[in-house]
Amino acid sequence: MLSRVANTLYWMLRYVERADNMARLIDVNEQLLLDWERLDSERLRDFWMPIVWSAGDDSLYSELYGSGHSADVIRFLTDDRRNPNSIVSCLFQARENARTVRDQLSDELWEELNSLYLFLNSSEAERMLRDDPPKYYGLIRRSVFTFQGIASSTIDRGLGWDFMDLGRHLERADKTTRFLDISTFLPPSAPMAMHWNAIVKSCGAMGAYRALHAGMVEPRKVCELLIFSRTFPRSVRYCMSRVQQSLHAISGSLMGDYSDDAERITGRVMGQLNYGVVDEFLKEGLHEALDGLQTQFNTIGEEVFESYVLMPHVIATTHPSKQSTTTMRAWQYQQEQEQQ
Amino acid sequence: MIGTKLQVTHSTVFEYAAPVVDSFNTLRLEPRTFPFQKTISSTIRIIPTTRVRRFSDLFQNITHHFEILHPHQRLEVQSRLRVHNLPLVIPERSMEATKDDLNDPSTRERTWPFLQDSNLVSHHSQIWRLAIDLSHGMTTLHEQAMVFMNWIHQNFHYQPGATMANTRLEQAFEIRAGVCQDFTHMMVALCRAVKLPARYASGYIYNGPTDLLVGAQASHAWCEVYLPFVGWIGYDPTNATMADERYVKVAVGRDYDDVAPVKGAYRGTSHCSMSVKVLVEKVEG
Amino acid sequence: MNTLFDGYTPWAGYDEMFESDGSVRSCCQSLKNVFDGLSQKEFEERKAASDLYFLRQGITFNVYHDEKGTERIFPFDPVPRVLTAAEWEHLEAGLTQRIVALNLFLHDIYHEQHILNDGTIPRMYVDEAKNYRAAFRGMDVPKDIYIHICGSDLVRGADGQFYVLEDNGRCPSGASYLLENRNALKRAFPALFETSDVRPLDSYPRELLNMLRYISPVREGDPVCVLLTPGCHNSAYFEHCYLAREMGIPIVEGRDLVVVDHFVFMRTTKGLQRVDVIYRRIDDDFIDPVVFRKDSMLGVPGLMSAYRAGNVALANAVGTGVADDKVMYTFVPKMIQYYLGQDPILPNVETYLASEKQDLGYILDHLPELVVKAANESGGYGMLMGPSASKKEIEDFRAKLIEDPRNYIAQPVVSLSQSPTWTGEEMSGRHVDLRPYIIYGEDVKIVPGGLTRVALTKGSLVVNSSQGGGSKDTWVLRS
Repeated sequence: MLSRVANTLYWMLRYVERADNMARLIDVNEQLLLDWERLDSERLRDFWMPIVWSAGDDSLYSELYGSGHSADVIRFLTDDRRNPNSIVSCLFQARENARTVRDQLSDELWEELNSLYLFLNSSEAERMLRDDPPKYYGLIRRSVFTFQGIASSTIDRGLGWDFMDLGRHLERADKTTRFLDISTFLPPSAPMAMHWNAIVKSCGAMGAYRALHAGMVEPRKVCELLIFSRTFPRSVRYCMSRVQQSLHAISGSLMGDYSDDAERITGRVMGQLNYGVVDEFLKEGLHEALDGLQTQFNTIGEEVFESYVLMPHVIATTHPSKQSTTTMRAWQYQQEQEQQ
Repeated sequence: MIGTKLQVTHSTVFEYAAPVVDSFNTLRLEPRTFPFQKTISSTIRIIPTTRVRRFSDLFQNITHHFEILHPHQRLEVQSRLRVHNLPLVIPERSMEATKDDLNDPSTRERTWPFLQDSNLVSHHSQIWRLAIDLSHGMTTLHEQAMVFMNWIHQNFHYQPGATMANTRLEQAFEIRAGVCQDFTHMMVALCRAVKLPARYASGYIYNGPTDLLVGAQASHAWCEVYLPFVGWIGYDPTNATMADERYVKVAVGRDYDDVAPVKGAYRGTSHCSMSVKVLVEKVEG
Repeated sequence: MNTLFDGYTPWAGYDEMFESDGSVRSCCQSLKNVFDGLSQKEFEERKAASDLYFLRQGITFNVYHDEKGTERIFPFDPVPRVLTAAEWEHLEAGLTQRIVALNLFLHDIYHEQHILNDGTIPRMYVDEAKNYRAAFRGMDVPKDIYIHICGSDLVRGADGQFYVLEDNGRCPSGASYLLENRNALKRAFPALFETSDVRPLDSYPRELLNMLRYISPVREGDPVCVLLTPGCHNSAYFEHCYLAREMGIPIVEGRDLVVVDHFVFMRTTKGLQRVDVIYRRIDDDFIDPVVFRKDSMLGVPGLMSAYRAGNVALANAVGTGVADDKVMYTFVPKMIQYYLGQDPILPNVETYLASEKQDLGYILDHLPELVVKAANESGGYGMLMGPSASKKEIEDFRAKLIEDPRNYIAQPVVSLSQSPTWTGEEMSGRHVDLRPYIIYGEDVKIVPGGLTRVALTKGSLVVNSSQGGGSKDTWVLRS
């Protein structure tokens, strides 16, 4: 498989996953607001800003909106094309990626993503976002589910699939840690129980939580489920074990061994998650522990790019001329563009 | 649609061990329109490129002529043609025609060249004897042609490599073997021995998806006999069949010498290898 | 019941569907019967369904010089254009003859140049042609074929005859629209195909792949063929993906390829893989920044060295642009006579060369009646339509003609044939042309039909998609 194609498939899934998570997060939090008693602008900001902080987009936000109020935050996260991580930006980017590897996708898969793109570009979408936001987010999420369903029933389980699955789960693991991290940024005055409720819902984990635990939602139990569960499909551990499977399927190396740094670091993270316990995490400080995981996820992403897309060793050993620098530059351009 | 449409791709490549010069060539690759066959299209590609001139020869065959004077080590001639063939229908009275029907002046004039000796087919006493014996007691021209055709098919052995392009009839007759060219020369000679006008036809056969007929991967040849009231009708001694709508006729003449598809001369090395590729396909529409 | 064709007036010139006396042409009768059985509402619903199919499939093109960069669908008209078996046979013979002659011409001018040496074509027209790549003279290309894929634009005049308007021998596009038009029409109006014996088109990708394999410089094993695209911002990107997928070959961008020791490789997740044949959809100018435009990020550095070494085949070859120069077009009938010894089967449109003194005088005197075209532009750009041009446009062109005569030709306005087209309210005649796609490999293959482009504005003669043109399905009947 062409390196560029592998890279594009990987990013396409990351973008779709990112959009889906953001849509769920906003939807859940808007619902939550309805239960809140006093809705002055100050409190609303306190409510929304942690989401921006946890996504790491706060400097772009203040550049675009200054302090702003809650409607701006929602706009910024939903359909502001200037924010590369907004839902609409992510989906446009995913569709653009799909377009460049159209020949690798089934017609149905392309049609689904393209239809969603056409909808988001329409005046109907704008109206719906204004008048009936739950319907808007619901529609996006349903379309993403359809996309995932079509993908799993039409894409050949070869290399392409491995790269897609890798992208999907790495992004999902990352998003779960970021949702948990929202709690770090909440002002001390915030009603914590309600927020933890929202975090669990944002990960689509309320059903799973209820099946395990009765009573109030407790932070410790939430962390245990969302980080250490072996079976819940959005837990960090589950996602990372899928990442590990994909990486080994791609390289062909044995589990327990590693052929590049992506595999090595994934293995190390898996050790931490397989044999760690939630109390150690909380002792270290939840934010610090989550931050540590995110840094490792980033490194895994970079190493995958290094091994399969750039492949410096192949070019370096066979062709040390200046032509490779030209192409290197082209690759870097691609990378910058996609990680906007 | 009535009939069959056939497409032929025929390429000939000469490769010389050293550069040659002053190459002069004549091609007979483009068919004119015959009573049962219409040419839809025909193109000839020659590499190295050169100016090509086109004219009709003595027998109304379309002929291309070209020269390549500068040194070259390879010469490729590629012909593509499409024809539309009508089913072969011979009227009853032509089938019944006898030698007497050849006697009117215009027929005599038209057929005269095809009763004489030619370069590769000349009078041969044993063949003459054989022709008389075989046709003994037969009255119609068609019957005689059929008996000659079948005799050759049964008694000659199809053996590529046994003869060459310039092999004379006597040699092939001696060994009772050869390829379509020799089979055809033999039949022409038998016919002429009993004053049956006969000519040499060159072209191709479509042999369907399976290789049933011999002579499909090269250009083919068969014999044509003049039947009064209808004209020249083909008999293929190599396959013992009438030349019907599966046959693509390109050129006609007294013998191979008159119709050689690619013929030429050049100055230079004698080390020349030739490869020929022929593909005949049915066309839709 | 009212039918869709009620009130339709055939054009005074050649109408593709109706005879001059208003009766329907026999080849279109069964097709008209099907449309006659539909109410306007049914028809419009089905047409809307076909439009949606194009949009959903992303069968769109990007318009250059349009800052919004919006994707548009290529408007599709559901009334097919019909060619009889006999008409098609004639076109096929003419196009075959033409592509063989054009290829022989290219071989000649990149080798011995007989046709120039003996003055049949004046030497300066080749030497000064913008797309003549003198550096490639003397180089042999695989199987001696230069133009492997040719899209020739044909028009039918008022006399019912087909004329060749131009040959596109560089990177002709549009073949995917031809295939998708058929798919869309089959989905929206299946009944049309039940009553007519239409020849299918689906062999195109297969023939294309056969051709690519045939020209591979590697003699053994399965050659690795790829399609080289400028990327997803190119206006024909959809087509590139479509064809690559139909052929089952990788679609690559310049940055996916790398040249090592005069061999071309593609970067895959398992390392470098050798490439034998490149179906390139990038113009010469951008294909190798080492040899051509230095600023091109689309191409592959060093590709030309591999090409020269005979280690990779390109379709089409480098330097074919000289043959679709509109000045060279004038000489195609001479090429046919010269290399094939035959008369041209399909005539050219009468053409005046601004570089010839006498012709220039005529052109300048008759500008309001003529179409003036720049020799090396395509897509309807750089063109003057005399009869509909403003005074100022005419004067602008006059100045250009005097300044750079070599770069212009002029032709009388051909009154293109018309075909009934749905305007949104009624059936009305619109001018159409025809672009068949010719594949030249081991054999010459022409997919039956071609892309019929239609000028959607009443009376307009410009059919280019970038200038408000649409397209139709083209039928070739079996008998």
